[in-house]
Amino acid sequence: MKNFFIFFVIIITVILQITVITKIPVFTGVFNLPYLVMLSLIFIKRKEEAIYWACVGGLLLDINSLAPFGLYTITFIFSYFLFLFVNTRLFPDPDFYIIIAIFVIASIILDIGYQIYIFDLKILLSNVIYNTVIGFTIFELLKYYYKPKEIIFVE
Amino acid sequence: MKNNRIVIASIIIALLGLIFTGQLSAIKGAFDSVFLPIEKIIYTSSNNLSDFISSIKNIKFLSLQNSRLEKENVSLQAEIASLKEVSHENELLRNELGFLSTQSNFQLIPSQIISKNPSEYLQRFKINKGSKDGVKVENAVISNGYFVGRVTEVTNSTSEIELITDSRSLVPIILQDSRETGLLRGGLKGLVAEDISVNAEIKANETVLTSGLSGSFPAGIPIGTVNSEISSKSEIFKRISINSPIKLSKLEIVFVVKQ
Repeated sequence: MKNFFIFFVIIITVILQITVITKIPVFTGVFNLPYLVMLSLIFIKRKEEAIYWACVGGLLLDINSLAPFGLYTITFIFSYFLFLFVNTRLFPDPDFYIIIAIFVIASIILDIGYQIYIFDLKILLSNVIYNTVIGFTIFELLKYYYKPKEIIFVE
Repeated sequence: MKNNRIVIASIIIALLGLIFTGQLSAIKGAFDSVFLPIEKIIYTSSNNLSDFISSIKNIKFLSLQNSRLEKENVSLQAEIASLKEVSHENELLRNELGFLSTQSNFQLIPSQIISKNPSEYLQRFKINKGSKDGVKVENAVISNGYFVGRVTEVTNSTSEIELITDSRSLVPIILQDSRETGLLRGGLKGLVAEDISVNAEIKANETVLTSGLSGSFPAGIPIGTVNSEISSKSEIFKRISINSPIKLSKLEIVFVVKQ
């Protein structure tokens, strides 16, 4: 039931991405909502949900994208494992500057596929700024609504 | 364990998709047939949001633009009156000569844009008409009588359109007065006509039309007007920037030219 709900929310988010968000570019930049939600989930310790966003969100974006198929799925899954590593091994409790840096790097990674396809630094820069601002907002919102799962130690 | 299976399955689907790109229209078609009505409603209803945000961005230019448009409106009304006369005269001459109307060679399929590519890198969108409506790959797409793009992929109920501003777009063109031919290239720097003879004498505001040399689209569809020459003296071909009167980012309804 829970998985079905996540799947439903991902579909809604992907539809919003291709219908509404693409209409509000800022200096040719467009943020990627499913990607930002996935990253935020990783950093609020909800990796089980984040993997659904990476796989299902990536595949649905690929189906609806007019770019080569697989570009989003592979980028999302790669980012999932990379930032899961960053979260578990390097920054388990990232502060403001680390979160900003993570969203900047994640946004660059998201655009690598497109940059190979079409090299344009103006869009890359716009996307990085837009994704970082919106990503940080989503992260803070999710952090506020979801409390990290408690870790119970059994002696 | 369960998560690993999801990851592996997704990667396999993505890789197979990459390898067999072009064979995915059945999957895309199935997805479209389920979500097309929702996408259509959300896309249409979000137009106001887009307009509202762009109004905020441009609020300081609006009053200046308003006074300019008022002046332009007066001159356009005069122009419309004179064009009506020309159109009437043209119609009479056609009838006299027994010519068919230029649009009788092809049918127009009105289509609504239902979604855009998730990123601005690709200037492409999806329309709500597909193969069942007679849309074919390489059909021309027009808006307000101007050429705006071409069909790149068709499913049963939807089609994908590549705009002329897409960096991969290449359209054979002809300049109406000088009769020089060239290639129109898209990209974020704007529309640029390339491969034009270095000896060509090009006038400003000269109309640019499709040449029909590709064999895909009909000849004579207007694209825009010449803005300025941008090539340097050392270049062996001329390059000129082209203005399209159509706001390609604001398109809502387009027509597919069915030959």
